[in-house]
Amino acid sequence: MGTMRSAVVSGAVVVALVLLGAWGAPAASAAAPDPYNPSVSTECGVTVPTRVSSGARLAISLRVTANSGADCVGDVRVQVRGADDGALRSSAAVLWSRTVRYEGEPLRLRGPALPDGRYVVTSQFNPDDASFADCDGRAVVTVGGQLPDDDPEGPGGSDDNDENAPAGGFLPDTGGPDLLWLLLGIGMVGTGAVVVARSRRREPAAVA
Amino acid sequence: MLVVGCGLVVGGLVVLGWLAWQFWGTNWLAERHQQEVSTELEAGWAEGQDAVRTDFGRATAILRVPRWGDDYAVPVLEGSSDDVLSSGIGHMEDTADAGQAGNYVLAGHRVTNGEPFADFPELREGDLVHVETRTATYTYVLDLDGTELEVPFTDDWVLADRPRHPDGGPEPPRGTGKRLITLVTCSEIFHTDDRSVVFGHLVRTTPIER
Repeated sequence: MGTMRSAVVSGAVVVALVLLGAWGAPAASAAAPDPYNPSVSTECGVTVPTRVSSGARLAISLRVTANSGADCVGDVRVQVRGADDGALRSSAAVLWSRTVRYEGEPLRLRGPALPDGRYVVTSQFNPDDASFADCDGRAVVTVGGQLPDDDPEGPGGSDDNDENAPAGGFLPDTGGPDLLWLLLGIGMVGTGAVVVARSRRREPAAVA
Repeated sequence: MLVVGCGLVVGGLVVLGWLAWQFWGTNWLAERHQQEVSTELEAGWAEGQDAVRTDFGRATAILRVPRWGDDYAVPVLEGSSDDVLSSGIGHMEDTADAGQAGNYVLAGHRVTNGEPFADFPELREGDLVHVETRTATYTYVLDLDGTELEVPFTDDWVLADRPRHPDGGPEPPRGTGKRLITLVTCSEIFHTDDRSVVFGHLVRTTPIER
């Protein structure tokens, strides 16, 4: 495994050096839009039971994650609206709303007790740090009717994806640092070396 | 100018040094963490504990993948925090437990932090994966190759109890039972928004007497 990684990293260094060599070319500096988005991608997870009994208060779990692995800090607005076949109706009135502080740890809220029917629970994350992107999450809950214990599928879930089943709504960052760091480091060393060399060449001329 | 040039060189060397630490130093550190966690887990199992709280998280299992060597054994910790992923393999929150009905989802670093899933692309359909807990060893067989499925990190359908690809792509085959395993890691050496995923299903449960 170390051999493959070393080969790939070495390849990246070569590519970086080639890119660095082309750095001075006017055409390269004029074109090449930055392909990297400065915002850190975030994902909002909102989890509610698939179905709750009539009169029971709704338990809502919130989670906000960033692809960088850093903690997400900011405000999360949670709203409950009526739903029609699981779709959020923009015209539907907000039945319940809370704004809570998110400090990087998953939260659990006690939501409202709702009349029988289908509802959409949404979460909107507004980060303190502008380098983090906003995100939205949603989940559907049914109040009343047949409870999950009566599910003919039994324990272990349904046949298809259950949008309420996944907990985090994200896949963790399990890779290495951004390639830009390698390019930045090589660029700084290279540029610095050129500057030092030129300044040392000028010094004798200035003395003479 | 000389000061600026020297500053750039020093700054660049600091950045490159940090990168070297990420690619090699964190592996050195993580391997020690893994050994520590494994030792504590074995000791806890001997005392009858199913899960053992360590400095890096709650450890519950040891993953063995023969494809990656007979000596490959990495502890599994609960969750997917940085601490967990830098000390072993993470068992994703709110997914099924090992051997249970549902989807047992494990995530691990492909590079840095011990890189337990470094050779993920070498996985092949039919490979065995063993998950050892205090009471049993659960043997899963993989249903995909390691390079067969890549998804954006926001594709949480792979965490579902029975993942179904929304676009009809690779997914766990039907008729393989309700007890699934999913392995997840980054799909590239450097930072990326894409993740490589393999699915598998339980084929054998071997009770363990401790």
